[in-house]
Amino acid sequence: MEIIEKISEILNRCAGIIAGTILVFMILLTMSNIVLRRVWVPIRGTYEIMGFAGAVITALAMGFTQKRREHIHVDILVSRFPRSVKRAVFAVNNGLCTLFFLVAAWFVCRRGITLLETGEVSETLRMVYYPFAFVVAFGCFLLAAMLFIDLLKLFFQKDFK
Amino acid sequence: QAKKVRLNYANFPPAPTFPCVQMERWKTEIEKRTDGAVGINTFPGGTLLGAKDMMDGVINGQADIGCICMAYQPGRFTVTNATSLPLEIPDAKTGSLVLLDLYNKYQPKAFDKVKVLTMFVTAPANIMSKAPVTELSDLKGLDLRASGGAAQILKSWGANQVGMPMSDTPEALQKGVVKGLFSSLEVMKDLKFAEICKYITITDTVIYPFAVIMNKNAWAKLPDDVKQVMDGMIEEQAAWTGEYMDRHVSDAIAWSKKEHQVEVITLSPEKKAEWHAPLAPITENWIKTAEEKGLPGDQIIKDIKYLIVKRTAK
Amino acid sequence: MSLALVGILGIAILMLLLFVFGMPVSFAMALVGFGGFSYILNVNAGLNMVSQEFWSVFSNYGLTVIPLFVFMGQIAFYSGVNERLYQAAYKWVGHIRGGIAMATIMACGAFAAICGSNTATAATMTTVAFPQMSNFRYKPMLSCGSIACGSTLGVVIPPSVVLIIIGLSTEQSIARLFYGGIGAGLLLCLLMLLTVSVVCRLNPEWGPPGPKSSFRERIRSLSGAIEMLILFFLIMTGLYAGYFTPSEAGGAGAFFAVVISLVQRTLSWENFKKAVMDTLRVSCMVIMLIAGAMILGKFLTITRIPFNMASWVADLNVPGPVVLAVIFGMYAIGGAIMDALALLLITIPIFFPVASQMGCDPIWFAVLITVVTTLGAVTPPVGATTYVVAGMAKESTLNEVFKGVTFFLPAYLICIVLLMVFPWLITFLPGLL
Ligand code: NA
Ligand code: NA
Repeated sequence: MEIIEKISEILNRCAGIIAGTILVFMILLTMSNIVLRRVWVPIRGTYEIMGFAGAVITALAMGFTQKRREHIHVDILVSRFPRSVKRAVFAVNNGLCTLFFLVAAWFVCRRGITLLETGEVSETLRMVYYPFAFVVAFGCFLLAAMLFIDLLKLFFQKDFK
Repeated sequence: QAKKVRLNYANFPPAPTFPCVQMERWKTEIEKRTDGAVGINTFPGGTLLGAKDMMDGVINGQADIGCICMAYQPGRFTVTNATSLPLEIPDAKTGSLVLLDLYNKYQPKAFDKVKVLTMFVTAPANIMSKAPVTELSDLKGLDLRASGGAAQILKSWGANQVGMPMSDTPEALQKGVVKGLFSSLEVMKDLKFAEICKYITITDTVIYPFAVIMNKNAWAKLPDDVKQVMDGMIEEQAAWTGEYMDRHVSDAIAWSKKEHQVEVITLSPEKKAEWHAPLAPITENWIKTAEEKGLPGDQIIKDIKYLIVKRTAK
Repeated sequence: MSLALVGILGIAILMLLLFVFGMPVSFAMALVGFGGFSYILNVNAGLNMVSQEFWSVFSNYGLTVIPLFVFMGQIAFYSGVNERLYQAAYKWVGHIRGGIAMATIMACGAFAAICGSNTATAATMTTVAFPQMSNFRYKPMLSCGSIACGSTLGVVIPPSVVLIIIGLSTEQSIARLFYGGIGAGLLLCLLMLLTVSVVCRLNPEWGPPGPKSSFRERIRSLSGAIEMLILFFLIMTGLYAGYFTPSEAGGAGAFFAVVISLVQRTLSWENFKKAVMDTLRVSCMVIMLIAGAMILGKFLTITRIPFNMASWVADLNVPGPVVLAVIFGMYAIGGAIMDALALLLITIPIFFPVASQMGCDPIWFAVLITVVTTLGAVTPPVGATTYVVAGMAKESTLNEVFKGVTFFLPAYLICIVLLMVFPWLITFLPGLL
């Protein structure tokens, strides 16, 4: 259990550093494009790159966003349930969502494979962009992993809140 | 009486645009000609599938029928996308029939997993601008909104291709973030660009190819007489759509001239040759790429040029 | 089972997952959307739809404004700019009951004039305003309600993505639509201010008044607001002079915010890192909400409920005003269960001809349905703005936010009625063009 926690911790930290760097890069790119368009020529493909960069930061953030329970949920009723019911509800939720995002990760991955196989490239820069689809798949997988770890904790840790 | 077949037809641009107009026409005709044996539900505006999701969406059965713009997925439809090279297709009707002929001749692998119901093209892209563009030098450093497919052409002319969503374009034009746009001319009226862009320069360089495709399983399940009706409409629909597009564009030009005093600039034959000279490497590059993929690039270009002449003569 | 029944059942299951099981909202929407879509077509189609939506929402250029604007807000927060801004505002309007809530709504309106997305507005304004309102001992319910509802002004006051989409799909001049939105937006803003005033009159402890400041104190306080004013000025100038598009304004704003706080030496490296990480988490949360709503929307689309409802209304054989009332009612309900943009894309092609046939002014009709669908952004179960505010204001529950929003519902209704009775409120400005 501790080893799994450790691995997820490291993965999420790396994801955070990469995503953060890309966020800063996005700001600089937008600003450079605004300035360069004025004084010289616009940066080719800004529009495309911003979209791909946005996909990467959202995907990489999926793991640690879930870890901090940032996704809003309605607890009007749940908070009033007795402990055992709460645990059962939590298990069902996490089980369903783990499964869902695991399969979603697999299908986003397949989408990347299709992009790879059909040789599709981006419109302006004509560069292959399937790797970004794999990053999104990885993000879904991270999220599924976080959900699964929470599920494991429910069964193996006594002090579940 | 046989059970009625229901088919879902997805399209990506907003309902009033020409790909959706041809969709509604096809729906009406098919429902009529099959005596109501087929009913078609249309989903315009990307409500069921977006532009880039269309091909795989139809293959995977999210919709039975879908309309794709091949230029949005460069690299995937190499053969048919050759029609969007600067080969001087004069109008949408000619272009649509040329595209269909080309498809029929080469049966590209990209369409292996679907049934093609028709193909058509946009009218040629032209320059709409706030300041007149009469010389190549007027284009130097000019920021024009265009889709990625036109990037190489604008670059060869020295203009800057600016990619942005169509929804950002009216404001960007108004405020001067871009100085014009490069696309087919119906947008002058449909999206009211004539309010801002007072000049049109006719270049007739590039068209965008579209295809209407159907899921193979859904096709296989259709009764034979329905299949016959749909097969019989392939070329008719291509011609109808091309004609509609061409009429729509000339209406839009007339409207822009009348309502907003838009000036149309045409290039003399000498000037046209001058404008087309720098574009030659684009086609050469395409041939090289196609041949790397094991396609007869040179022959495809020759065929397109021959088909343009043949289809224009008719 | 008929498709309509499947759709209704889907919504019922969504309610169950949300309110009884307490499943995160974005996951529940995605799950129900996936389940319903798969039930109607097949699992393979459902899974492909889900993977497509994740990919296309995540990589959507238009949505990159969310992380960029959120980052701008986070920088303002961590460098203390927003605190100094609110201190200044407190000196000016703090002595009025609910004055800070009113100032927040106006700030939302000002922000709306920059940003076309109401989720981006909500995420930014919650960071900027919520902690400050708590400082001044405002009731969280009122603070959250003001921010959530104020943020919806972003869709009515131009630039607005929703108005652009209507313009593109009905082939109307977007400039005229934008001018139409100004009148409606100002009226709605005014009614929200009135709401705060009335609510605080009835419950004085919700927005407690502070001491009255002297004129000199007020003038001196302005120096604290200077950074935010410069930031706002830079963005507005850039936008209106045509240096950048609304989509780029987020990036420019974030850049200026960092530069200003570096010049002022108010931002430590530690806080900068915190701002980055908070931004990533908040935008991930917001974008997941949008992805969930899109997936759910695909399911409702394939049931054809919105199409059939729209055709049913269009064929109603009743007097014009009744048809209009039914249309607006449908948008209010539709907005509650579906993403506003998806709903508009489906229904506009059907309703628009109906409205034109009845002789409605197209600009008036378009702006009015924008106001009506705006309401949908704050109502459950699919009310993105409310969820964003609740997700970010850690000290308050979703329950409180929804309660807070409820106080503002009359403002929306009165606004809609006024716009119907006095169409010139919308059509006056575009008429000048
Ligand atoms: Na706005
Ligand atoms: Na809603």
